[in-house]
Amino acid sequence: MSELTVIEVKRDEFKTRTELCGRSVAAAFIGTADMLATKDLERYVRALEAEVRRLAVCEVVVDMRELYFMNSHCLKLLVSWIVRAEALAPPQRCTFLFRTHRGLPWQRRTLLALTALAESIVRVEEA
Amino acid sequence: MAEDVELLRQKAMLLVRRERELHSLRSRHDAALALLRVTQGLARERLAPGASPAAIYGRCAQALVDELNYQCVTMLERRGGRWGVAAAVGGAPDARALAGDDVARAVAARPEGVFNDGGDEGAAPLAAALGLRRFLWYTSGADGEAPMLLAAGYDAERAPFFFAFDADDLTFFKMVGQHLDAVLGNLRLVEALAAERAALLDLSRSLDRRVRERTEELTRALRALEEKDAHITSDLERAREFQRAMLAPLPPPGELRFGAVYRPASGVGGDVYDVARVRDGVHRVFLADVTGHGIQAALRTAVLKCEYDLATAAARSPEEALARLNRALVARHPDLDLLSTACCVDLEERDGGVTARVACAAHPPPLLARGAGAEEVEASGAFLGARAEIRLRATSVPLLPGDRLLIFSDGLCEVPGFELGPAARAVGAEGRALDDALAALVARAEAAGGAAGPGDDMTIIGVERGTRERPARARA
Repeated sequence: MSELTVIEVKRDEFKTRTELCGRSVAAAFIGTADMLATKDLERYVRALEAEVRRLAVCEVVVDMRELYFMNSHCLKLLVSWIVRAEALAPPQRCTFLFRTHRGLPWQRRTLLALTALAESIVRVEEA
Repeated sequence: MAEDVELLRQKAMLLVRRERELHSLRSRHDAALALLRVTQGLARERLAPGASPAAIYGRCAQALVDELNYQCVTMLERRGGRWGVAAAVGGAPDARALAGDDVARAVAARPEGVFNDGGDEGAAPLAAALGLRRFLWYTSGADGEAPMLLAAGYDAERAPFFFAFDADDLTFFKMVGQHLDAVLGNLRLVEALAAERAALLDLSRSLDRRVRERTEELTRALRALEEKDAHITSDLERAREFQRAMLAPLPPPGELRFGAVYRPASGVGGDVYDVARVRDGVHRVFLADVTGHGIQAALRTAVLKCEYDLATAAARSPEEALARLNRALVARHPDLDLLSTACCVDLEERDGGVTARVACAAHPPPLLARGAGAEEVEASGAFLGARAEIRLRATSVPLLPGDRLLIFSDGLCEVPGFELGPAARAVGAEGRALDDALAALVARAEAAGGAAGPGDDMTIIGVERGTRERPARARA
């Protein structure tokens, strides 16, 4: 298996940190994903999605414990990815595990909606 | 007596020596004065209007002849490695010989010196080319850009009538040459400065012209932009009016009183709502938030509202209305990027009571404000417009007299530093009328958002049940 190749987002207010662990990818979102971060995050999500397919990754773990806010534009990027992933046949279909912070109520509501969108591939784990 | 004669003889000899020394000093004094006149003349020449190196060479050569009594003065300039005559007074140097390799080598070997009646083979080619028998020469600027050779002296015919040149003569002569050098250097500097000044003036004129042209271009562009901006502003105003027109007037107050505040982030927005009586005893409140802001989002709200109007008519419940709307968005507009969140609430007046049935598609849950408290009405569901089939879990809650149900978009609840629940409790405690209370909530959210202004569209719809219990209607 080759290495993961994505360009991390490194803005002052928002950063990503991505690691490949076997057949799982851990993507940590840190900071505030608002309008300013939308373009960078879009480029990142597209690249990560392509890498996940190329490397036949089984699970994407999105760590949102240090993500204080995500606006609807940024969330839409994840929704669109989940919808595309769900449409794939099982060998290429990856699952998503969202790690959330109990002290950030917006995460609960938003991720409930994501779970409702694709129950079979989305899980939420509250820390 | 003999001793006296000897004493007188010695005194006479001393007198003669003193006389000679005095004569020598006078000569040198005269020469110094002459040199001073030459250098002053050169200084005036430099300052004269239209001064040129050729003119200065000529004046210098003439001054040396006039003031220092040289028979011939020749000035050479080196160009392209060869010497050429720049000025000659009192003699006729052999220009071809001067340009030859022999002279070049001779001067390179000895840039300055004294030549007295031959005996100096090294300088012989120079003497021959200059046609002089007894002369001084000095080369300046050997390392500079314009080397010059200055030579002055006497030809074979006149040389016997003058003393041989010595080291003092050469020192004097070098001073003249150095001064001439300085004058010419200054002149070149003045010329260079004048050329630079002229170039700068040209550049300045050119820049002025370009600035003028660019200013005119920018003025034209600005005018065009202003026209375009006015056009866009006008369009935006019409779009805003159009979007406002989409928001139907609220039902008149009865058992239920409705209020709404709609505050797009930029003229038009991505929020849309509808409050309507859908059948006898049932009002339906709908609030949706499409992804994005501005014109694009506003256009999407138009599509979404049309689809909602079609979907809601046949729907018997809020969850059915949202499910129908979702299917229509996915089936009919797959390319319009209509990902949205929405909340739909049916308010049913029945048997003297009011029940709110709440369905949410990834939308913030409504708040039920009762007395001094405010609680979320949980209802879950996925986003609209992402996939055809979504699961929506609706919740029913009774609306008691005095209760207020607040349905809002995330622009209101996601303002950093603002919490809607406590704010709703605080506003509720102030005993404000519904419209005032909604306006106060939005104002507090905007204030919390700070000088940056609202980052997202803000919409809030309030439903208030009258405070008096109403008797149950008799069933038919």
